[in-house]
Amino acid sequence: MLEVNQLSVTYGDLRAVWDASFRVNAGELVAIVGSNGAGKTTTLRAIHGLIPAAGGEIVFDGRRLTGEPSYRRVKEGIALVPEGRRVFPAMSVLENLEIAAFASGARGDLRARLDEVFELFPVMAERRAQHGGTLSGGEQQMLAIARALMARPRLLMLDEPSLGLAPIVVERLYETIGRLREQGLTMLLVEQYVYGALDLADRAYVLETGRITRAGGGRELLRDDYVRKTYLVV
Amino acid sequence: MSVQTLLELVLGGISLGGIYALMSLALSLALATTNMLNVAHGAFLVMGAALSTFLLRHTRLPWPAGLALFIGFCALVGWLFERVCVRPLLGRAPDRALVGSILITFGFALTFEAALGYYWAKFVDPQPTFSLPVAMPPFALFGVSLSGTRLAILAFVGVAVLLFHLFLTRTPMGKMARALAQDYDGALVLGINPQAVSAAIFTLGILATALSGLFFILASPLGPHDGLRLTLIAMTVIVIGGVGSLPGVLAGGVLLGLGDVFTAFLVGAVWSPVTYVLVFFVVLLLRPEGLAGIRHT
Repeated sequence: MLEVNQLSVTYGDLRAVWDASFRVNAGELVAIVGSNGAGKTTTLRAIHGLIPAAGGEIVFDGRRLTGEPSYRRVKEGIALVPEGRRVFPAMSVLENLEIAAFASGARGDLRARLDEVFELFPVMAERRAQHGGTLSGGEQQMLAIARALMARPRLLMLDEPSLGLAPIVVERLYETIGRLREQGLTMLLVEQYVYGALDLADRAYVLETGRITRAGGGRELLRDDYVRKTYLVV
Repeated sequence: MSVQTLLELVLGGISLGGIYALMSLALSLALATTNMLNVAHGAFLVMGAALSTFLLRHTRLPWPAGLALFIGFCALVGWLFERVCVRPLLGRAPDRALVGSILITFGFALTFEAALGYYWAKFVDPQPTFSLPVAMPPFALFGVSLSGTRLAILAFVGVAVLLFHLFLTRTPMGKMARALAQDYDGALVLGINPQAVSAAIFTLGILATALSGLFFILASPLGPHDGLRLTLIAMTVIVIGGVGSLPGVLAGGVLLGLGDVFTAFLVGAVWSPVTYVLVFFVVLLLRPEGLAGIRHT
């Protein structure tokens, strides 16, 4: 479904991603793990068109996306839950969700999509009148995911969803991601929380200082000596 | 000071302040959603004043036709202004967008003022002043008479602010504009097209500002070179009120309007700018986040 070929991204003279190639097949949950500064967020932002790629190509469903503006990506079917959640603090939960529907051109279908999202996240239905800024971190993350789902994406990209959340909240969040996978949603998950991501992922890539250094099945990488030594406390 | 004088001054201050608030609202909305500071904003109020003077006093058009022409022309200018002066900078890094927009719009304002002054003097009137002396009957309330013109201005401001508020809270475009203002990146990843929002915000904002120019000159005349002074007032109001806050901007505008009118009455109009700076200074001293701004810790 998504194919990234030799993607390079630079910030001025600094090269953040070097010739990264990977793919996500339909129905898969693929994880990209790595430490802080490895280029994970940069990779996702480049796929979503928020920053230009310096080289390589991004192909989605057989179409080259390189060079198109970010807002088109959503209509193509790619949604991004950005790092740090980025909910609108001074707007209600409902407005946060409505805007996502308007932006993806789904105004007429608002009711049906709200129902879908509320079924998946009953807490959001309870908190619909509350401002985004007053939600807890975990609830904000759920809102961010719910908001991305309003566009009914074919590919959902999640950028560090576990960041800054308590372990118990992360566990619940991963349960939700697992449920989305059962529903057949294709996902690309980027994480520093290596154990959780590898445990859940069908396939995974390890990104180190802008280069992909390892690839394999999620559980398989979890047993890999190098990965265990570098990213997991044994 | 008699009650009559006091009420007249208060009404004058509030109606003038309302115009300041409306103009500042449009400016702050553009600033919050696009990161562009439009220094030419006051010039569009002057444009409204000049165009309405021209259409209603120097042509024989019946006023409804003049008004329709006015609205169409100002909306078109707003849309073109966004296309030519704003669009090329959209999506740049925030500091570059800000600095770039100040340079471009400052250049636009200077060109506009010079051209308007020169051609107005050449083709319309050698003494360029824009005014619409429409006599409106006074309105009596509890034994004091209130200026009909001032009340008309106040009514216009009330309706315009209400429409702005409804636009921002009820329409998809308004909601998307607020989303961009609250979190630009968060809005982009949802698929909001910043160019469409920018076009709508600038077109509406410039139209509202030009209309306030029409109402402004019902009470006091303007000249071709008043634009930058008005921009400065709008910026002061935004800083006093807090960026992106409707109640803050209203309070800030009325505060400056009252200060303006009372200073002019008590010590003379030349001292009005001193009041702005004084109000500015006191507010920043007591509430550096602005009257309705959020305190960042």
